Amino acid sequence: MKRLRHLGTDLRQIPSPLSDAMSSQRRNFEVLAAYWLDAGASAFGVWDINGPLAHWPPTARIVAPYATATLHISGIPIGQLRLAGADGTMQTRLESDARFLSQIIALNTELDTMTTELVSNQDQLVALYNLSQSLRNQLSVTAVLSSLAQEVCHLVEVDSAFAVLVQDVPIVEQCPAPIYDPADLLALFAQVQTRGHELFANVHSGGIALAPGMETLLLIPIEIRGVVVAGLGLVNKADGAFASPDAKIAQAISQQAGAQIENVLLYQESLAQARLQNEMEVASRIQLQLLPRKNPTVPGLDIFGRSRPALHVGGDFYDFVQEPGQPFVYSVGDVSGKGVSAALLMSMTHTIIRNAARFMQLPTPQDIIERANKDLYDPFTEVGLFSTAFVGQYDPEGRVMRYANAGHSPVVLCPVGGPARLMEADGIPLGVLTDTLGRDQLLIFRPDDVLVVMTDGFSEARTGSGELFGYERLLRLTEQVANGSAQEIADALFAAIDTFSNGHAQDDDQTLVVIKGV
Amino acid sequence: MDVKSRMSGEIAVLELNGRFDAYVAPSVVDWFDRTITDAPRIVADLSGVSFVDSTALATLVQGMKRCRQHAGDLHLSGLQQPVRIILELTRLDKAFSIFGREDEAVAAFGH
Repeated sequence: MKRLRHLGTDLRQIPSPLSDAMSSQRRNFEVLAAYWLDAGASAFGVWDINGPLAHWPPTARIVAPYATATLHISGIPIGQLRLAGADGTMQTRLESDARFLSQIIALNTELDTMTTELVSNQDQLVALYNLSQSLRNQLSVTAVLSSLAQEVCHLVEVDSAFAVLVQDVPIVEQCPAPIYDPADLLALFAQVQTRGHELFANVHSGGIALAPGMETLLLIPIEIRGVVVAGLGLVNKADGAFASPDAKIAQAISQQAGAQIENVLLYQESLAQARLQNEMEVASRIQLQLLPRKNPTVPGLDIFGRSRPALHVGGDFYDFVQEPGQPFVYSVGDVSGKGVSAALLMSMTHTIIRNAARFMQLPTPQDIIERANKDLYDPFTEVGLFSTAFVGQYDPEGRVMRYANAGHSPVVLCPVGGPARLMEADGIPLGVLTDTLGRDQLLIFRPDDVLVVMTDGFSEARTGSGELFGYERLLRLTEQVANGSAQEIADALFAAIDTFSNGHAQDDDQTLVVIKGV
Repeated sequence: MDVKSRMSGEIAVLELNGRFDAYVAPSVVDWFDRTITDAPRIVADLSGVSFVDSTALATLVQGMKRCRQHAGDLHLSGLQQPVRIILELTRLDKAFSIFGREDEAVAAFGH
């Protein structure tokens, strides 16, 4: 971690362990020297591999020593103790002193190393703290990547740094300047993505094709939500090749940056979601405007309609059309699928059926359906959806109910006194073929007859365990509640599926029109 | 849900299993995208499908239309009862050519 320079750490340079020990343990050496001089030696000296470090008495020069003993650390000679003017018994004791001193010096060196590591770890912590401070206020991914490249340039002695994020549109940020072709950097990052771990590269060792101008490269993968989609690159280390300590600090930085990028992405997603939510609410309000605001008054009929969307915008619709001089027309439909595309096509289908009912010359229900199918075939084909539609028309004279059904269900007819039965479609839905292949059907609609045109949100309402409400229950339920008004029948049907679902979320739009003969 | 496919001569056979709904539909749409241009005569064998929702029906309709645009067709085979009922209620049984077994659906394309 010698390259942590901005923190002002003055890491001690150690020329030799012995001279270092001499300066920190000088007092002990002096005691030892005094002992030898007392014991009869004329001079005591300490030498390292470069020459003399100290003599006692200071003026003495031990050119031809009487006795010497070598100091070792881990078996490597680091210096000598020298005596002059001593008798022969002193050699053994000098060697014993040398062993003892060697041990002290070794411990001293170890302590120094540990201190250096501690300082270095502390530096790294401070560096990471600074980095997280500089990243935390960024709310765009580009700003985070740019900060990351800048901070790394400050932390590590390199010519330049870069950060990449590969999403729909790849982002490449470089510091201090955009030196390299982003395409080259992305190609290098792609290799890290494939490997899943860091990349050390050196222009001299070959193997990896570096970008023009790159001598050495360390590229660290950054995981976002468990996938490597970002990377941090350090280019051209000041003093040679990158090594594992460089990777260690770069990895620590990358982890911080990864967490911050994750936060920013999350923030952006929730922002986008909030915007979308807002737009969906507007769309939902527009759709509610399309639905009839009140139930029509038609001689001989009691009519009630209601739609309850599952999402904010749905694919179900119903409509009532009353034009002077024309029979009353009603429609119910369900665009396949859910969400915005279904809702947009629902608006179109609703409008086209309404306009056909209003502006065609005395159309029958099947005329309206065929007109709508011709208009909607291309848009539905484009989007890959279709819509079922039921269109009814009531002529009070003779109480004739005429209807056409393009693939719509369930439609339940409960004649006065029952039993209720399902009125199956004979035409295929709108937007499937250029012809719906259906025909107009006729029905004499007497007082107390009940017709309920629903969407499949009723028959397919289900319990938490997946059991469907089904057609049989709808038929029996309609019989049971057929005595009520149109609204009472509708309320009872909604209440019944709510009870049945018992809190299970509504999967699909639920729409109905109840018509009762009066 | 599995989306498996194979070739039977020049006919592409799509085998679906389990629930065919809005969650599965995108992978079926992808398969149609990859397949129809080269092999517009397709059999969708639904014998393993227990349920279809309206998105699944729309996916099949879309596939059928695109096959026909490329002078081919989409035949359905092996409908389980719940699937058959939904096709009958929506009268989509009138729009598709439906066969009991996959080999019949393949043979119906002729040679």
